[in-house]
Amino acid sequence: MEWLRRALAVAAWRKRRRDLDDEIALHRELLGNPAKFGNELRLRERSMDMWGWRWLESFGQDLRHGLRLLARTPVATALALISLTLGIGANTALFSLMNAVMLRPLPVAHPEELALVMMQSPVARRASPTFTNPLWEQVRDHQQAFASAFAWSPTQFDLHTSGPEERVEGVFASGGYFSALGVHPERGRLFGPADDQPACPAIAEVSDGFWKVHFAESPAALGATLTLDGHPFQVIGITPPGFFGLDVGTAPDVIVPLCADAITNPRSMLKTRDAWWLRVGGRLKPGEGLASAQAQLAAQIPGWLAAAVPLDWSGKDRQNFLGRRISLQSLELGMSRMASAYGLPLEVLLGVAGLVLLVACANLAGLMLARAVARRDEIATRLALGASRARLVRQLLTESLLLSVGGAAFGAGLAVWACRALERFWSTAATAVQLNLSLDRAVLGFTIALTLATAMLVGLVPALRATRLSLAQGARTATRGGSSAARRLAAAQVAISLVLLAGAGLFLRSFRNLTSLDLGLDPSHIQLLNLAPSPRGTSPAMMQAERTRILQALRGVPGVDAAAESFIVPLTGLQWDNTVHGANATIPDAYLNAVSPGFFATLRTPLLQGRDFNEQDGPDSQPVAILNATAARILFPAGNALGQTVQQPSDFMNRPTVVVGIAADAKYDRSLRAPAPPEAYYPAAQLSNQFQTAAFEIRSTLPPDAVAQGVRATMARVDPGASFSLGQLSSTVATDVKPERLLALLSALFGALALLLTAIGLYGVMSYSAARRRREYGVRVALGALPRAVQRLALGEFAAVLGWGAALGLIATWLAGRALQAELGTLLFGLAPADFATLAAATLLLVAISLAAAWLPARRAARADPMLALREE
Amino acid sequence: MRPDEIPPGSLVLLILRVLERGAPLHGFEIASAIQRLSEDVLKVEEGSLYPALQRMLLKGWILGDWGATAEGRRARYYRLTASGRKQLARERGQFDRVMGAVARVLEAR
Repeated sequence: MEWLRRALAVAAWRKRRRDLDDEIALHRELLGNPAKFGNELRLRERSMDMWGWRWLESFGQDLRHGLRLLARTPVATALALISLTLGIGANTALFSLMNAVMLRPLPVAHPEELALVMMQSPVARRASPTFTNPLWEQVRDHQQAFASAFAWSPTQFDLHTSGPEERVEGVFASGGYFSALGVHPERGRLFGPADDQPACPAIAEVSDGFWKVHFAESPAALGATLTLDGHPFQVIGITPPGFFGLDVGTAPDVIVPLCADAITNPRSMLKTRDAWWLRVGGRLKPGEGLASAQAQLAAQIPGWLAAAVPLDWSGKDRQNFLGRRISLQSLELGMSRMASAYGLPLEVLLGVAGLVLLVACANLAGLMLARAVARRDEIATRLALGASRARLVRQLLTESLLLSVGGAAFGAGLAVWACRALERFWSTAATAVQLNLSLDRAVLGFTIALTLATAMLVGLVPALRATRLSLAQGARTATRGGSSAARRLAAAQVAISLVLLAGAGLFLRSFRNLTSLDLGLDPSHIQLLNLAPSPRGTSPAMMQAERTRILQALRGVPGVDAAAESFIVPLTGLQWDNTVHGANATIPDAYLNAVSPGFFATLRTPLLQGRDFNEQDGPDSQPVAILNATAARILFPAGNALGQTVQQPSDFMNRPTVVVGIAADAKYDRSLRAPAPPEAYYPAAQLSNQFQTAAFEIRSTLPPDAVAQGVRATMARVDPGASFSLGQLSSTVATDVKPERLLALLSALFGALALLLTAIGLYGVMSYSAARRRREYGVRVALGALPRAVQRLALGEFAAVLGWGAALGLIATWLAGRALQAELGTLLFGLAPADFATLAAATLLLVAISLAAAWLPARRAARADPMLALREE
Repeated sequence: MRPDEIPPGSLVLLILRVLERGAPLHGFEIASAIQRLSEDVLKVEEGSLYPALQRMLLKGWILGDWGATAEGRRARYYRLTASGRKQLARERGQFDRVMGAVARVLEAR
């Protein structure tokens, strides 16, 4: 309780002091003899000391003193504030992003108890978090490892409203989803296991945000009808604000029961034993760890796999299915594609921003040092008059604290703006990225710690140095001292800047390497049209006929050079893989696609041998396939793939297929850096019963808007009822290289910032040293030295700083490159961390800018009038 | 006769004891009460009284309420809290022990 009273007293300390004054005045009056009452001031101070108030009073004095001093040099103060704002702002922004993407636990009850179930097939390179629905049903009905288990699948729906059609983010969620996550409805009710049944009710939960935008927070939303992919759903509840499910960075608007797949999808995947579309998680039993839950699941999984193996799989495929292993992973932080894609870049950028702040600190430390040296007389006098050194150090530190708190305040504003900008940078036309960037304890603590550390870095060394003098030193007008520390600071700045410039150079070149990569296809000028699934009851033949009609019409749109159809659009992240057997070799996970004639020509993927598919490759003719060069080489090492037969295992095309063409390798999935995988293409017409969705690639050199207009008009004529969306292939590629782009952009920005700060710092050090040695230069000139010689002398001092700094910087760059070899290996594409050209360019740039910064003060020193300098003392 | 200084450490005990007698007192009244009760032997140094009162407020042994004196002057009246009573018992016990020991030493042959 004592601390509480003390704290309250501090809050109202002015009033307390007045009270005490009143009390003492009364005492004195009643005593009738004022003289006897002793030293009133001392009495008051001693009484106040009892509450530990004195520090506050002296802190207040220091604060006022510091503010006055800073106000006296507005330009230097503004420069200092700007550099700290940029430094602290950049660090705070990056840390909040990292916090939102990688550190924040899910906003659900006890997220630390949540686990994600991963599975790994014996032939797969790594475990994947996907399940089929029959397999999930086994888990749901038989698992004993979790207190509760759930499954979900992110998806997108076409939302039909009175206005323009809209694509909304959605989630299929199992009946146990909400109760396992411990989520309670904002309004209405959240569906449960009773709703997730084969006789599926068409019900939907909507997010709080969706409710606000689409229903204006009206209670009438409950019971309203939403048309999703053309099917009516009844809204039964609203999820609480801030709830986004389990996928960090997404903001699903609509959540429907898993069983609703049978409503929206004419070829429902609920019974399909080889459709891997679900993620499965569970809540651990209280007090139980991941390991014991995993052991229990591992014991049960063989039975579940046996019950869910695709009926017509045999041989190796069946064995691989049955041999799948299970593992658990914590879901505390949710699933985040951003965390895996941006984790490392963000960490590197935070490190880079930290170095920039260090450069800014070095600048300010130099400034404070010069100031402290200028105030030497004042400090010496105060020391002589009995001020304690601690008191003076505290006063000098208060000044740097003022600067860093100011920088942090502006920096926080900058960070908010920067975070929003980066959120926009991440969002694409198709998916909006929404991060929880609100201030939490972690961000607040980070910023406060950063501010205090900055104040210490900036103020401590100058404060200690300035108060170290003995009386004798202070008494004579000191003109030396402090400059070696300033030179060391400047050299450190040069070194750090070189590291940052080298890093920026590496990331820029890596980004250029990546964007100028040969993809095996040309994504520019390709407009995409995604067709929504046809309504239930449409036969495959009808769907195929509809698509053929659309393709024909699209080819006739004015300005369209070529058009094609495919099940999978390359580079969009969708993938379809399966086993392909050759005569003597097998590819366990070849990437597959079903394409129309003209696909290769439209995407400009060269056909190396054989022919393209044509109109004769129909459902009733000989099944044919085109392999890419890699697949052909693996299956037929002799190089005679053309005309050979390949075999596919599953129910999708269990017939011998003849290879009629070999296409060049082209990138398929999102990993641009990896070499193209083995791929097999089949005619869409021969596989039409396998898929309901399709995308069309349209090549045109017209502006995208013009193409889109033509396509819309054509669709309205050919297929008025169809629901579709338009996009551009090049933007999906741009999305894929975003982490690299972010890294290159920001590291270049930070490098430039560090260079600017260093230039300012060098200018400051040079001006300061020139001013200090003015008398010496004056004497030299008076004795006949040429201005050029004096200038050389001044620059010589600077050359040592630059030389040491650059040498240290090169060593540091080399060491950092070695220490971060593994990380840089994944971040850099097509060049090594110790890339000579990059290092040389960075060094040259640094030297050039530094020379420019030092030139002016050196020139001024040499031109100084000797008489002025000599007369000064 | 010139009043004696209060033995070091016992001022708090005396203030607590004076306040225990009942009515809340302001600072001057506390000082005069100690002087009166000690028959002018003990004189409270004002320079120690107010720091001591502040410390006792901080410790929570006493509370100060603002009121008016008989002459209508604004004054802070101090009264004992429960924890102040406990402290008084503690200090009194300690004082008795020490004084007893001192007396035994003085009376020893």
